[in-house]
Amino acid sequence: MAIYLQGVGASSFKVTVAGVDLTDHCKSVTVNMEADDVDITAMGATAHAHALGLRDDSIELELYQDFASSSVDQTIYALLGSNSGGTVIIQTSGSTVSTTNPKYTLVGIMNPYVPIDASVGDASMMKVKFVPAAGGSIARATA
Amino acid sequence: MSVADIREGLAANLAAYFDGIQISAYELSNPTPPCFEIGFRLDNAIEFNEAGARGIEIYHLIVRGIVSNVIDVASQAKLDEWCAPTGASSVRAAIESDLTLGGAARTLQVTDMSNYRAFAQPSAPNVTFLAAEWAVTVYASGE
Repeated sequence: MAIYLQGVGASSFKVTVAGVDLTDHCKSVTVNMEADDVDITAMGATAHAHALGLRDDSIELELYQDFASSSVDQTIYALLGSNSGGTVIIQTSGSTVSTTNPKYTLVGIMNPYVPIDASVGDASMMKVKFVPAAGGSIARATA
Repeated sequence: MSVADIREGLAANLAAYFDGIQISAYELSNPTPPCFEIGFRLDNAIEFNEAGARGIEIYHLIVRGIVSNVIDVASQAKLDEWCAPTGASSVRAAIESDLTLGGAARTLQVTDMSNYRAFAQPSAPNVTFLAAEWAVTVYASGE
């Protein structure tokens, strides 16, 4: 039985934001695909009835901050305030996308952006959350 | 990038500050004080998988400075010069003079000085040295 260790090994997960590969700055990734839980319980029922409503996906990244050219800060800051957002792609491996290496893609808007939140001597980390641009959701692909 | 590159980079930073004394990128079996040697700390010396694609590994090294202990006060005064946080004789300033270790690291910091003590080699128990250790945390790519 194979188990998946996030980011371990040469073919680590792959994180791309607005076309920039930020994998080697990424400490953690959360891909959240969920729908609203709508209660449709009617009179006479003996238990709650549920239905799935609107999707409300998100992707959260924890990144080591880097102010170098075309790195973390310049890539993420460029998305601040943009309602068209940017494309975030998460692959479970850096290898070719396949049924055993799916790809999750979100056209997401980002807010807030906290570029600096660290004490002296700490590695400067930042967390950023992407939610779908209007009407969107995370697309899962196997090719 | 290799562990040897990190060791050599630390030694080079020290050599740029301290002229005419023995500086070894490795721990010495027969140190000739005044001298510096470099080794790993005992626990969790390397933290792997801090970022994806082996983008960041954290290395915890020790830079040990050793002086002779022939005259107690003078020996401590000499070692105290090395313990200064800044200045031409500061070990911390020397180590942090090139945060990238000539390209071997993303960044580094000297976190503390400890183990300021007298010791003797088992081969020569009547000859005591005085030493202090600087803990260095190096952030480097695992590739």
